[in-house]
Amino acid sequence: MRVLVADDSMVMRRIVVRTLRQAGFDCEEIIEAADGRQAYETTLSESPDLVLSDWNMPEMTGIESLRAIRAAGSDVTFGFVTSEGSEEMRAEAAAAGAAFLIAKPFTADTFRDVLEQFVA
Amino acid sequence: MTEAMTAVLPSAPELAEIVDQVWASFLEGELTAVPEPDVTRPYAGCLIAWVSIGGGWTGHLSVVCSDAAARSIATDMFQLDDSEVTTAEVADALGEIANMVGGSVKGMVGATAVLSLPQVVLDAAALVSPETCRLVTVQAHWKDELLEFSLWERQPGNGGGK
Repeated sequence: MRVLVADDSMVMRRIVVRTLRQAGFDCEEIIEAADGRQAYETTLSESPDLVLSDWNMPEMTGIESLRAIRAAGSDVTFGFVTSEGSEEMRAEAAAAGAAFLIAKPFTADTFRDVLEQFVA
Repeated sequence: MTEAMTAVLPSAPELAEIVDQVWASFLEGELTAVPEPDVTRPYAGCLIAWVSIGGGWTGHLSVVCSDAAARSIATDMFQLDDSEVTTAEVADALGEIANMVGGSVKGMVGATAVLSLPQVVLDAAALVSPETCRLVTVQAHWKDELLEFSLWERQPGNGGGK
């Protein structure tokens, strides 16, 4: 599985990758993006199998990035990993085409429970 | 009735619970809460990270700790040795702590609230914020260091202060 991890925090990108592996997911390639615009551009150029994205990022927010990705015709599996997990944000994410929203803080069990529905 | 009037801010025990959840997920060792926080503690020699919350309620969530504590936070989160951690990584890790705690606080204060990107200042004593009033403070010991988490409300024109 090729995974794009988008977060403006270096340490959170590191933690997300570590948690993916702890949860038992086989990641043959990890691609990183440090802001929403990079996430948008890299998703289109690299065609990952899964995008795990923060919401609140510079240049483009995660939700702006997702809308641009969908507008460009990509149906990549896209999920948020974000510090904000209100019902309003979950509804907004789903309406824009997100598969799930994982709120920080999270554990490997959280990743396993949520992601196994969407990835092989 | 406006959302500003109905914003529900976390109590000290609720803020402590949010911090505990972050710690249990990403850091080694337990936090030991300080029963009666000393809010007159000087910030000299400390780092501060904060996120701002706007919308129906306007304020900040701050995290203050010593350089040694911030380095320990970074080494735990990056899973690196202390000698390998850079100043940028220390700031990044402390900012992400503020972001996670602030994100949970934001979820309590109202649907229209907006969270800023985290900011980090390496000398907390150099930061002046005259238009805020501290509402909630939680202090805890961790690895022999004192950590402080505070919620500040913006009150334009009142002088505010620490």
